[in-house]
Amino acid sequence: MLISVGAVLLALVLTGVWPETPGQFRSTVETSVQDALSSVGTAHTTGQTALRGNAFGPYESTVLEDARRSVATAITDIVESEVPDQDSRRLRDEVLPLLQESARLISDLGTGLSEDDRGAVSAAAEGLVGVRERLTAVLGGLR
Amino acid sequence: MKRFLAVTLGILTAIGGFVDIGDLVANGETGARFGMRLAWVVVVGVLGICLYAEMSGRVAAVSGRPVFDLVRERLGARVALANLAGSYLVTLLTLSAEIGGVALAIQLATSVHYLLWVPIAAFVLWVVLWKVKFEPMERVFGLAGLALVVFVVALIALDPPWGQLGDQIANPVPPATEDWATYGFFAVALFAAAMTPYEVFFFSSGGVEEKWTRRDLVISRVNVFIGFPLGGVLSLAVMGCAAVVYEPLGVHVDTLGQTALPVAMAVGKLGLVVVILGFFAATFGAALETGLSAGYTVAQYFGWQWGKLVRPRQAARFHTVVLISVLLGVALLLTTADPIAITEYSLVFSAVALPLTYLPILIVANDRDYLGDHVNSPFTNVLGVTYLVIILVVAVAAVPLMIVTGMGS
Repeated sequence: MLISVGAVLLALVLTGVWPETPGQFRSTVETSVQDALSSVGTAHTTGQTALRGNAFGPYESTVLEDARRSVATAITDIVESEVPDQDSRRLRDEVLPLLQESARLISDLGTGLSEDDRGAVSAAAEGLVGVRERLTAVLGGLR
Repeated sequence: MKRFLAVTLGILTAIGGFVDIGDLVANGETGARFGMRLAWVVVVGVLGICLYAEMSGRVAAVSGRPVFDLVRERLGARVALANLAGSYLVTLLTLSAEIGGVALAIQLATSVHYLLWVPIAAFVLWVVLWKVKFEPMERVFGLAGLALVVFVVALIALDPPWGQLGDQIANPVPPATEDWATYGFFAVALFAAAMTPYEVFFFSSGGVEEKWTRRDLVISRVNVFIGFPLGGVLSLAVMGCAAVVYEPLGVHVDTLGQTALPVAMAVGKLGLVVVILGFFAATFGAALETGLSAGYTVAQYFGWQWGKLVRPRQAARFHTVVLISVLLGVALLLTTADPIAITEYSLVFSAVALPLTYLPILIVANDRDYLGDHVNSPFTNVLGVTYLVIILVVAVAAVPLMIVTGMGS
């Protein structure tokens, strides 16, 4: 019994410290891009809804804060992952700027809404459409 | 006329009380990722909960005792202890998720972080559990939960491509972007959300609290066979709204704010206010039910005085279990564990614990010593055994699917 428990614990520890394979890195990136795509899509829809006067401040800021935090986690997940080879490095360099732009635009959208600046909200929402299209293309390539 | 009003009120309460945080999360997530391709699971789950809730309501009305009380007497202390352990732990996890849901609903209305609302929500929950009588407590939150009908209004107002949704319902296979394992995982989560164990404990203990007799069997059956399926329609509306708004965008849903967004888009600010009120009522009502269910299961196993019919002083151990359960639920949330993740885990472990809950009910509902001529008919037993097979498959598949799919991610 003790040997079995020990073996399971050892397997868990080894799984945790084993070097990341290119496949695992790619999977991490795919999850991060999907999360960012979800956040960008949600933020854009929230912005459009707010521009039509269909939502109110506390709700908008909560949804956008969740979206921004989700993108921040997606960025952290990639940055914290060990890059196993050149292809993975290229993938990281392609994806990270997109995620950073997503986070920036979601923040801008939140600021625009809190300051009731319709021009800034429209510009951020328009920017999010472009980012969403690029994220969708990257995700399609990863699948 | 008075009886008609009582039946109507019971149905409305059952509809409003059907949806909880598990339904909101599972249906929103599923609609966004699979469209209506998993709608059949909600139908199967609702039929299952109707079948077993009717049995447990009948047991309570005929014997005057709740199911859990009889499980120990009929199957012995050891089997009942396994039932108690599984059911209590799952109910505790669900209670924590519901309290988290209450706090998240308030955050949507105030933008103040949900963790600050958790202790306040828990305190108010405990005060209501301590002070308010059973029937008004059940009715107020059940009726307020009807606010979630706004999802049906929103779905219609979104003017969805009905034909496309119909095609998805008629072709229940994963879309190109998802695999079968993920499809299976979300099917398990949806089934568990519809058949959460606390629902039958609450239904049968509630029947005893409301002093049901054989004469109330009709009311019990009307509540179950009309109220629950209409509650299931609300679940499908949540799924439909997410399917229409999020699936075309490739957006995954994992917050309550996202679940509410289609309503804001379609119905506007008023709709948003109503849906947040509905979230609050549904989760607070379910937190009351799970808090009481935690107390019911432990007190009934040990043979203590229980329930809201007696003064708290006379059921001190029952109220102590309720209080400790609420505190444990709060403690779990204050570790900063994500309430939505807690909900997802509670659904998986509910699925694992389902046989422990439903097999004993089927056995007790066939015991003539307790039910006399009101035991299950052969037809009910065929359905009951069929569902038990489904429940066993779901229970066995839940954890492997959770691991293989990384919680469906």
